[in-house]
Amino acid sequence: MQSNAEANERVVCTILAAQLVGLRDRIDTGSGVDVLWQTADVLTELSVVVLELLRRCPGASPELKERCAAVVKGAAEIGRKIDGMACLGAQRHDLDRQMADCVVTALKGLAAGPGPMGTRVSPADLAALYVSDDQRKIHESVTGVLFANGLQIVPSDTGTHDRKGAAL
Amino acid sequence: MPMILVLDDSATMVMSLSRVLKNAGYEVETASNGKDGLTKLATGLKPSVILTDLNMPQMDGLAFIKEARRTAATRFTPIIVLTTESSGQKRDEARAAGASGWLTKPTEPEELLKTLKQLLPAK
Repeated sequence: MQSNAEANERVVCTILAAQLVGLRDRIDTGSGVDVLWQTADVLTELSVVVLELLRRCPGASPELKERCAAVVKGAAEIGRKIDGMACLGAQRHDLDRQMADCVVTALKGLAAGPGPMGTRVSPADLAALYVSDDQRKIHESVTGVLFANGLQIVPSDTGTHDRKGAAL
Repeated sequence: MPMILVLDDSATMVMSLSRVLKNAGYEVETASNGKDGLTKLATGLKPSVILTDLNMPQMDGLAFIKEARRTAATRFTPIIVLTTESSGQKRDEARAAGASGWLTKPTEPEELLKTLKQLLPAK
């Protein structure tokens, strides 16, 4: 039989996990990468149009031809840089999404894992979920402060370190 | 034109990597996880380099690399891991499984292209 406190904790963790899932999903869809791709595509299309107009204008001056060539070259270069920027942004969002995933997995473990309150997820279980050094640094920093303040943890017998988190 | 097989479960990642690689003159094929990647390879796809994420549903990057190394057609194909994972242990596991290179997200596209160039056979 669960105590009220334990049932409350499970409900709160379930709600937090669901909210974080919503936030995680927004990271991917709200990244603005689409706009960058569209910009690069428009630049490519403009270059095609400039070249086509030049082809249909045989009397164009050498100066105009030179300017068109420079514009086409510049547009290609900027298009590549925009795609590169979008790629870097997508990778950062992927990292953010996976960092959020770790917290979701831990919260689900707290909400639905076996065992009584306080034994379902240990700091070591949590650490096994990390995907980035940033997370590990935060973990070390937080535990360092807690232990310096005299906190002691009795190792739990839970924890399979399964990163997908079905049974933490 | 060298062909790169890109494996990532994020559609945004797949698209953004494809655009960078195509801009650099590579042909690109994509897969959304390891299982999907193996299916593509089984159809006779012969990529010059494989670029794979690690954390993917159904079949992760490590299992994919192990399986690809057991297959004659991809036994010696360079495989680059592009992942958010930064732990040394995971890197060692990937190396032991047969990965040829490792890049941690976020990686500058120039760095990715440089790594690809190093792994592609000289013409």
